[in-house]
Amino acid sequence: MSRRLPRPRRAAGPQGVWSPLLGSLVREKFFMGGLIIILAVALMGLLAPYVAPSKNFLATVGPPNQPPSLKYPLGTTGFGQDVLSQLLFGTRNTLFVATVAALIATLIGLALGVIGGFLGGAVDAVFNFLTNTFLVIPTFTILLLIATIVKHPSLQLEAIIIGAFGWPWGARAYRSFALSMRSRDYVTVARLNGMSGLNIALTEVLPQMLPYIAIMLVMTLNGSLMADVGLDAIGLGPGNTITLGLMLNYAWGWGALVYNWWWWWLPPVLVIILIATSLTAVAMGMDRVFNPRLRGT
Amino acid sequence: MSGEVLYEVDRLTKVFSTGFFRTTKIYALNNVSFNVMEGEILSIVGESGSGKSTLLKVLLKALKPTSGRVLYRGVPLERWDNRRYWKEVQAVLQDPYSSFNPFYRVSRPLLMAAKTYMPEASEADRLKAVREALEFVGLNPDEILDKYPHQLSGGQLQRVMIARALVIGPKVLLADEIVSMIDASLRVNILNLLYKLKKETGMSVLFVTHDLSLASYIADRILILYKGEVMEYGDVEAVYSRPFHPYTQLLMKSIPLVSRRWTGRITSTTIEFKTGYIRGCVFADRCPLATDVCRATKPGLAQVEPDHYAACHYASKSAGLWKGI
Amino acid sequence: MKLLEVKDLRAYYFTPQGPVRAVDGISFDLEEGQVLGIVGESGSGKSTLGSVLANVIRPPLRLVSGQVLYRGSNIYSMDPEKLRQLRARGISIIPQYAMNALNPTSRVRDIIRDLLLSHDASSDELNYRLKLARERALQLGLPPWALDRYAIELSGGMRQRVTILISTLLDPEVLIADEPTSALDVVVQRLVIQYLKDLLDSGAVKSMIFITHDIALINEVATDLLVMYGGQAVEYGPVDEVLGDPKHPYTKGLMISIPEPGVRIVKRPLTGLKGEPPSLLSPPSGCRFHPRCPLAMPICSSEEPPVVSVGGRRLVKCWLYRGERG
Repeated sequence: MSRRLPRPRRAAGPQGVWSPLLGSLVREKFFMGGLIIILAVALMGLLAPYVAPSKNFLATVGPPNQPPSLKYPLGTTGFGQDVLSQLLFGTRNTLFVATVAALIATLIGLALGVIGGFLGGAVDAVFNFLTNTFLVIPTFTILLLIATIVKHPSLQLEAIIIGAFGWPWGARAYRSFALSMRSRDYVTVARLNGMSGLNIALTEVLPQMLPYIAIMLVMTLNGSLMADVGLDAIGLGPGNTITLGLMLNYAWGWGALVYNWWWWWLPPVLVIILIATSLTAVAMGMDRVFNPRLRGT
Repeated sequence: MSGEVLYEVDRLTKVFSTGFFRTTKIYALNNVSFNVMEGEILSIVGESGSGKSTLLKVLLKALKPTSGRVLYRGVPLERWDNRRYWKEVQAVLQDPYSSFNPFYRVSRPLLMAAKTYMPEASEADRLKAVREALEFVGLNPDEILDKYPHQLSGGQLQRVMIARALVIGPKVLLADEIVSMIDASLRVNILNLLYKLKKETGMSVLFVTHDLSLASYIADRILILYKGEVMEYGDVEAVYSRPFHPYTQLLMKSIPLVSRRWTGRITSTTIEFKTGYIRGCVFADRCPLATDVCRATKPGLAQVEPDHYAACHYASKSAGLWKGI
Repeated sequence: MKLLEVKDLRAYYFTPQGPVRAVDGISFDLEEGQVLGIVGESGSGKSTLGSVLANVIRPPLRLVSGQVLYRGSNIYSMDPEKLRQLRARGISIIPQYAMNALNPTSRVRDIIRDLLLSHDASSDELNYRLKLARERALQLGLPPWALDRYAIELSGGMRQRVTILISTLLDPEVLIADEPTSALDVVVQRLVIQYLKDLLDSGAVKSMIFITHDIALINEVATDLLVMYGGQAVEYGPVDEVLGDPKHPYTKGLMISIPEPGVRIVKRPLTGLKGEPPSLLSPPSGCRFHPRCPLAMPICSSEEPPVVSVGGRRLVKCWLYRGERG
């Protein structure tokens, strides 16, 4: 509709748009709660090489299947390894894979989505087709296939594989965002000002997308985590190191459920749940701040 | 008004294909012809669906015509390099709050314009040009430059946009409904500013609006569009005092005035959105004078007076029936 | 018969930055046959007033003080059942942006049917009103098939008119129209105004409050005029008297800033108002118009002017007329 009424002026503030947003984020309970937890878990992983009782977490250090005690705070595995050390290093490695995979997926998604959506035409047609094709592929099945072929990929390779299939959802979202941005008035004005397409994409469009990218990144992290744990738990992940999923694989494969050696499988499960929940909370918190309509005022 | 013809628009047509198999055709513009002289203000009047926004987008080089041609200073639009063209043709858009990126201060688009179009000037000179432009439009640079868009009113933001164009110093300013989102009592200030631009810099203005009252205030000539076609066109005094086209007359009769009240009634069937090519006159289904001739063939734009054209088979009859607003 | 009595109405938005005083002391009466035009621009509070008069307000907007009496009963202290019965038949509001008020996934005639049933229409009335709806749709220039379509299939202008149709279908005694034509093309606007005046002339609607920023439109519709500025009423009186001889500097400023067709700057330049609309969060001290008033006196910035009578039913809130208090 070409005609609207004069818009009432909003209450003024001398600062820009960022500081009020960041301020609101800090006050948002879900965000801060989730952030603190995930940072704590990440810290745990980061400090693993320094605080783990058994730096060589695959070495046998004592009798197998010991319940938690003073000497072994989380007990020992079926192979006599220290569960606590495995938990710390496992967290470290799992987080590593999930993070790298999410970063790869986000970068690919951003590149294809924003460039395609913004430039339109043939480029967009090609990128969009690519995105839709990848979307239709059953991701986990393909991951299984690749992992079977590659046979125990390294952590880095696993991250690449997961990232290479995790980008389509993001790409779609970023594309539609870029499409709507293209027709924004200030983008037209930027063109009239002689700004190049790349300049516009980076300085006009991207800042608007940052809140959205942040949320998508956290959700992609969650997804990568699940894919990683899933692959490792089936035994298709790396074989020469330890991850949370691999701990589950060993524990369940070697009778932990049957013999009720709960200290072997429960800690990794709890950490996985903790990571997933805190990530979800962070994403939820950001969503509530960036989309005030959901707050229900 | 000096002599040079800036725009020659010749049978401009723009067709959009939509629908599932792109078979539905929308004739946003059909055979539109007019010209714009240096230093003149042309009002382009139309309601929703008239094609006025599409026309502006074509003139801004944001859309390509389907057929027909647009010459700017004798050269077809597609042969103009964008950077050179936008040094001569700039625009101000309808929604002042959308025209600014809320993350940045309002000085940014001004300085960006200066940087692009004054590349050899020093930073100090560019800032000077920006400040002078702001003063010309009636704003105090010290109060405006470091504000964010949400801290200024719609009227102030539109002035900043006009200042941005002024920094570039174009020959033509395309103004797309620039006051429709501003309070009625403040609109005339912006219009006075546009007139000042024309008088003091010789800038031409293409003033797109739906409001016939605003259209006549600063314009020299007026172009009236309906469903993508030109209904009436010419000198503003002539068109307002002797409207030939029944559509123009219907518009004039429907405007509420403070000085007088409406007499009689109007009846009008609804404006249905038709897709596809309309045979005959686009106004025929609403026109009290329509005959089979009107429904079968399109009337061309024909001269009815010096500098006054109307597209109607019964233009003189229609003019004879006009008794004033 | 006084259909509506509004006494010293105040309603504020309670925001984190403080109270926004959108309606700050409005009083008037509405009798049968009257059309009160409320004219104001951004920062005047006129749309808030419309919602308050119809009691469709929600937090953070709250009634602070004052009364709205419909036929003597305060609509803010009615029990919910009486209030429900009041809507559509007693006081009905055509909201601003009415075109977005329709459920896009229902057919228009079903929306109408649901409305009628929810207002306790007997089956006789149901049939009568549905038939009436079709007649009135034609009056509004809608095509006959419009009522049978889904709301989402209609254009914005059509949806606006459908909402107007629905809001007036039960022949409310008091019709509050908040910018009902602002998004419509000028020809359709005239059709809608004709329609509303027909409703008034035939007695289907007994009185109307017409809220707009368009002073020329007010001239076509209203019998009396209330000019709002900064949440307050600055001038009131019969429409011909106020427009013919405006007393308040703001009203005068409005009148000389509106171009009419054929008025050209080369012959008759117009000067608009200077300055910017007032903030309702922190309005100017004293008279809220004083920063923009060409006739401002020292007292205007320090003390709020009283409402004085300037003859007949005319009232002005301005220090210029203090001596003329009747």
